[in-house]
Amino acid sequence: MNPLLEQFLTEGRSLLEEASLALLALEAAPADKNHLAALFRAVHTIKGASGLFEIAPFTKAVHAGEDLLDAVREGDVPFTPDLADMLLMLLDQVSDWLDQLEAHQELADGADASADRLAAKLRQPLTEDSDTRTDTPGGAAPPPATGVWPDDMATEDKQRCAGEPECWRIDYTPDANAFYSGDDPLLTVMNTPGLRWVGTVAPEVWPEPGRMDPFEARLGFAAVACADEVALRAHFLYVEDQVQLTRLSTDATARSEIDGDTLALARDLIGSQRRLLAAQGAEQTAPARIAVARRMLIAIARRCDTGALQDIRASLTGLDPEAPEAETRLDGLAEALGTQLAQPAAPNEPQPDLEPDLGPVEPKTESRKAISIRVDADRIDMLMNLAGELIVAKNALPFLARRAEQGVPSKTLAREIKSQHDVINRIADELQTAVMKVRMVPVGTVFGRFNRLVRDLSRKLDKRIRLVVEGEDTEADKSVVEELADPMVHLIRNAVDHGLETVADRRASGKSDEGTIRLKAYQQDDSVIIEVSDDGRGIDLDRVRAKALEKGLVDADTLSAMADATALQLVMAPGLSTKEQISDLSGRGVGMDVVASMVRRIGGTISLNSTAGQGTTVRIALPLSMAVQRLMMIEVDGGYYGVSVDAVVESQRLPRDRIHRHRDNETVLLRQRMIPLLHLRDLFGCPPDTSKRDINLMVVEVDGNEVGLVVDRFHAGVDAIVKPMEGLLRHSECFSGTALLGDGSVLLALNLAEVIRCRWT
Amino acid sequence: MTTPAAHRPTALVVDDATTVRMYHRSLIEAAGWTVIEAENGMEALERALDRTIDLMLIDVNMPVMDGYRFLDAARTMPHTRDVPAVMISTEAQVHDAEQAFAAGANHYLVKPVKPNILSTLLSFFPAEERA
Repeated sequence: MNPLLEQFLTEGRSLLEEASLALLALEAAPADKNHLAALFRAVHTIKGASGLFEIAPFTKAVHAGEDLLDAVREGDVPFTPDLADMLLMLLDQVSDWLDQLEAHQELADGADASADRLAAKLRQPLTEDSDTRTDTPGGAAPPPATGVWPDDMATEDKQRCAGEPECWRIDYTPDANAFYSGDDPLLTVMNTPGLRWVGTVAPEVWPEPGRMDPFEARLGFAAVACADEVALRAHFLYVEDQVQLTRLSTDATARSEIDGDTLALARDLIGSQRRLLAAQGAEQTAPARIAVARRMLIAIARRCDTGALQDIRASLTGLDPEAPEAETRLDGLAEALGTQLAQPAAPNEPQPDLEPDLGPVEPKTESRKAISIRVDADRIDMLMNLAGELIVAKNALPFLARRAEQGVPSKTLAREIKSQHDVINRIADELQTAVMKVRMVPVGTVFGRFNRLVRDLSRKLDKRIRLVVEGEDTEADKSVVEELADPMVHLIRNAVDHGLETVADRRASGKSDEGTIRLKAYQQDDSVIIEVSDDGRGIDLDRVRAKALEKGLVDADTLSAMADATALQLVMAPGLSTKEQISDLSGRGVGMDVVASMVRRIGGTISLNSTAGQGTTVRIALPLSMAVQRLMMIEVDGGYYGVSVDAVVESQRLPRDRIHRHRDNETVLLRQRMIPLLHLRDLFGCPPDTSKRDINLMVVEVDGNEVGLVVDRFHAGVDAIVKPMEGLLRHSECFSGTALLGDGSVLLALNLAEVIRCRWT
Repeated sequence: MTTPAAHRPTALVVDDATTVRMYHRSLIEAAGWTVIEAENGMEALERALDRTIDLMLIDVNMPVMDGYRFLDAARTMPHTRDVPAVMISTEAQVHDAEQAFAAGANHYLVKPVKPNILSTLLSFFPAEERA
């Protein structure tokens, strides 16, 4: 990619971030001039930079936003939530465009149209507030469409005006001295809002060649633009005496607006009519088939008429379906119609919003991920130092080899090799830490986007919400932070939608009007803890219990024996949703179970805490890094498996007769705790091994529950880099991934949460 | 543009699956049309008796009276003989399509019909066409 564009993308994204933060801050405190200034500056800088590239629609839309902000700054236009919505829309669009630029180095088709729409929208408050204030809605009707389309405007260009509420012909005859008065007629006309077509108009009489002044403006313009009159007049304000506006009727073109979808369907339909005419149907329905085929063809011809189909339409309408050779003639007309429609390319590409799956091939979420990361210079220096040390340490090896050749006693040699190993080992460890540090990014990069989410949700749900963010500087591995975004969006939606009450409800229960959502991040040992809490109504435990029973997630006995804290975790079981009404925000199938599985997939754990009437806290604990994990190796039926050491509570060898059986469940009593057993041989479909008197038990803790895994043998712990499963195996959820061992064999790492779920649900 | 209720175009949706009917209804109503539903061909013939229909969407496999037999009958009745009809079925086989055309279908689509195809199809029948 062009380095300049690359720079623009990076800068543009960070400016966008700044702009949206400023915008949200401004909304909270509309009187604060600093936020407004920051917002203006960010938008202004984006606009300025965009001018370096051939992305006119981009510049145009951002320019409109800048003008609007300028007017707000001058106090001409008040800052309202609607205005904020509009500006956010602009920021969203710009963000999309940046993505498009990154993916394809150019804007997608249709950018022009959306830029025009956006710009017109953004300029609306400006024109409303200028001298045309008398122009109240519904008051002055737009003038009748009396204009004549320019002769040399092609049909395709006319079609691009179809369906527009207003379409104007602009005749612009610049003053002969235009170039001396600082006008740039060409630029003026090219920047016309909603411009669809421009043509030049030569003067009727050219002066004698000898008397012609080359610095006089001679050419005029005829242009067609789809924008409202006020915007057009505002645009030509400085040259209004040289411009004549006449309204054009788009009715003639309205029906012939043909996009790719319509054209494709029309061709299909024509083919179908010909097959209908050719089909061997019942004798008595033959006239009906001809009649309906004719009707259909007329509909197609009318829908797709761009002026060239008039003859065919006339023939179709004039055709008598009862006439002797109607069938053959109709087929001929269908063929002709098909040929006509096959020729001109569709002027309008299919609207991207109709066929979202036709968009760029790469999924959107992928492109969202930051490809580059910013790294502190200190960390790079540290890497450099370590690389230097490694080179020095490496130089010791040839020296050792020479010593071996000289016949140094092997004991001495072994000691020297060991000491050299220590040096390299230390460097390797430090290198790993340093590289890991490079990958560390503050979780704040994810938190940043939630301001906007909360704002939009609170507006949509009409709740007053304050978002408090703590510890956004806490760092975690880049991949962990990126994977964090999705589950957190769900948690925040849940908190806003289910957790927080409406203002009225909050008053009734004696709380402040404004609900609070708190995002808190901090480091604890080797984990990053993220907490999402709200001060809402909390989770109704009785309903959770009732629902779990109703859905058959647990049986009545288990449920009644279950502690409240444990029962609360049922919220995260698949298929349990306590919100009766499916709400637009969070009820669409994505419940806590999905969040829980997302968190587990990235190696985290999740727990829930709630007090009725006081709020809910969801706590996510994530590993600092996903890169290296310490695994405990276990053996089951000759195969090796890895269990995350963090989860292991203890390992025990127990005589078989210590196992208690209750129905299908086996448990052991260990230090006054009942531990349910899970035979991994059962789970993996291996034959049971009853030959030994003792069982090997590994007690693991998952989400606060202890489970005993019965394995064949324990092995040493290993440091391993667990890579997620790929391809077909990706769906085998019982395994979190594979790791390569020192001897080249492959170790399957168990996803304990999933393993336990397989067994008990 | 809002179309007064009396001039809305009307679609007849014939399908034995409630979900399919609901799906089609929501798409068609979104385009400003009126929708009449029928569970099978027999019911559809009754429903079509006292109304002017602009478009028929017909499932192939239905109990009581299937789509082919319904369309065959509809093409002999004065008020439905020249109403455009689209057969919708789960099978993509060519012989199904041929059978549909023989019964007098104007088009043949495979389930599930994409929303944009259906809305484009509806746009071929503007409201003002109604006499």
